Amino acid sequence: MRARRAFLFWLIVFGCVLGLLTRFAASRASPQREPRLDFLERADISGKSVGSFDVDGPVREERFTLRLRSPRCEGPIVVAAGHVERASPEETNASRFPATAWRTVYVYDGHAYDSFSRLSAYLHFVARRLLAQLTLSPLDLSDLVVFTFHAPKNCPLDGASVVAASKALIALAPSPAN
Amino acid sequence: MTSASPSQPAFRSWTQLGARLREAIGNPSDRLLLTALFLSIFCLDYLPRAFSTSGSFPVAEFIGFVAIAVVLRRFGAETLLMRWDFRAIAAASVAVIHPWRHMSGLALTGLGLLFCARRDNRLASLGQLSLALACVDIWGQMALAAIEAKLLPIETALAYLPLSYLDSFTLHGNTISHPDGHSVIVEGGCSAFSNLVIAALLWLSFMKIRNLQFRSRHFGVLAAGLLAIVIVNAVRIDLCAWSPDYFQFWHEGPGVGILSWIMLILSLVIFYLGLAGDGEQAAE
Repeated sequence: MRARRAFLFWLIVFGCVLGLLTRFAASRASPQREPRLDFLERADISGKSVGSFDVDGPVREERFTLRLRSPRCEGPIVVAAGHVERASPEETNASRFPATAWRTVYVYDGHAYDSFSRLSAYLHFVARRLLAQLTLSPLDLSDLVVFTFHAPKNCPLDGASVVAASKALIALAPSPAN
Repeated sequence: MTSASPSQPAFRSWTQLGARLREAIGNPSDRLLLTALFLSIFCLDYLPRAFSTSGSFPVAEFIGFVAIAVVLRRFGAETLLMRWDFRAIAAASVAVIHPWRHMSGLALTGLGLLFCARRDNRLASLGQLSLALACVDIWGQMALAAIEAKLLPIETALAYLPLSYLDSFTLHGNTISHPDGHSVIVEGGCSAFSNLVIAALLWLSFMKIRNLQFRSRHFGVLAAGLLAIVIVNAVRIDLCAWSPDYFQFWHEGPGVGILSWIMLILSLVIFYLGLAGDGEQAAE
């Protein structure tokens, strides 16, 4: 028992010293830095093609919202990128984009949804982040970002095109190293 | 001629200290093992935050560790740990080697769950404090993310209430708008929830430092502290919603620090004064 206690004490001390070293190494490697998606940082984003849409421009007062144009749609399509960890103001969106006039499609992790369960997406994100942190590997933006597409009701908005657009938007995001 | 040198008594005490240290490390008590573990967790994941420029100074967590130290002091030389506890302590000390900043939170969760249901009040107190620290670090944030879609409109409505009497503000979900075009969206970071979890840790720390048993009056003190935080947070949202200048000051400027300190000092005063009337109740 005496030897076991002494061993445990030295294990704790050893763990502390090794922990200090790994934290020092980790701070140099910055594995915990998460990628960001900030459209306002991309001054050249207007006019770019994302999937079957063209970017009209960012919405000035909202950093993560873009207006898109589609040849198959007269009105603008609005896409907002939200962090899955932070709930988007659903009721505010409902008042800005009422279901009577607008259709809303959510894209998360390469899948399109007409209705979106934030909790299950969040749990998925937590599992991915835990895995990424344990393996000291970077997170993918598709694990972090929920895209919400709002299109006028008469516009065709199929799942494949919005998934392609969200992938193209992720590809446009600045690298976390920048 | 033999004369004792002035440094001899000091030398003797250093030798005694060394001998006592060797003896303590050769057969560490429960108190020493747990002190080493909590000190390791504190040094690895909490102390660096005090020097970090990215976040605020973790006052509540520091007070939580002070409470842990006070509880550990009450252990004396008694043997309270069981075989499973040694395994859990070993696992926790290995787990904190990983550099993820929430790893300590996971280790504290494991230790907390193991200890909090113990019959011995000191081990149970350690478990409760560990769980409270883990809630501030991980579980509180996760709980907020899970419930914020429902919680934020309620908090926004609470903040909107006084504004509705003062001017023609409008409320949409978690957005408060003024006819002049200024509007604020209340997001997870604006919620009082995180501060409520921190306040609960402060209250528990004060309870454990004073060695109090849970009584309904103590829960009343906790409720008063939480209510104060909800009110201050609602006032903060009101100030941000009042005008763009106010938003700049209270959300982006020095107002952030002012309100954080007001919340902290308010909860410290409420818990200190609220729990001060009770004498120490030895509960071991």
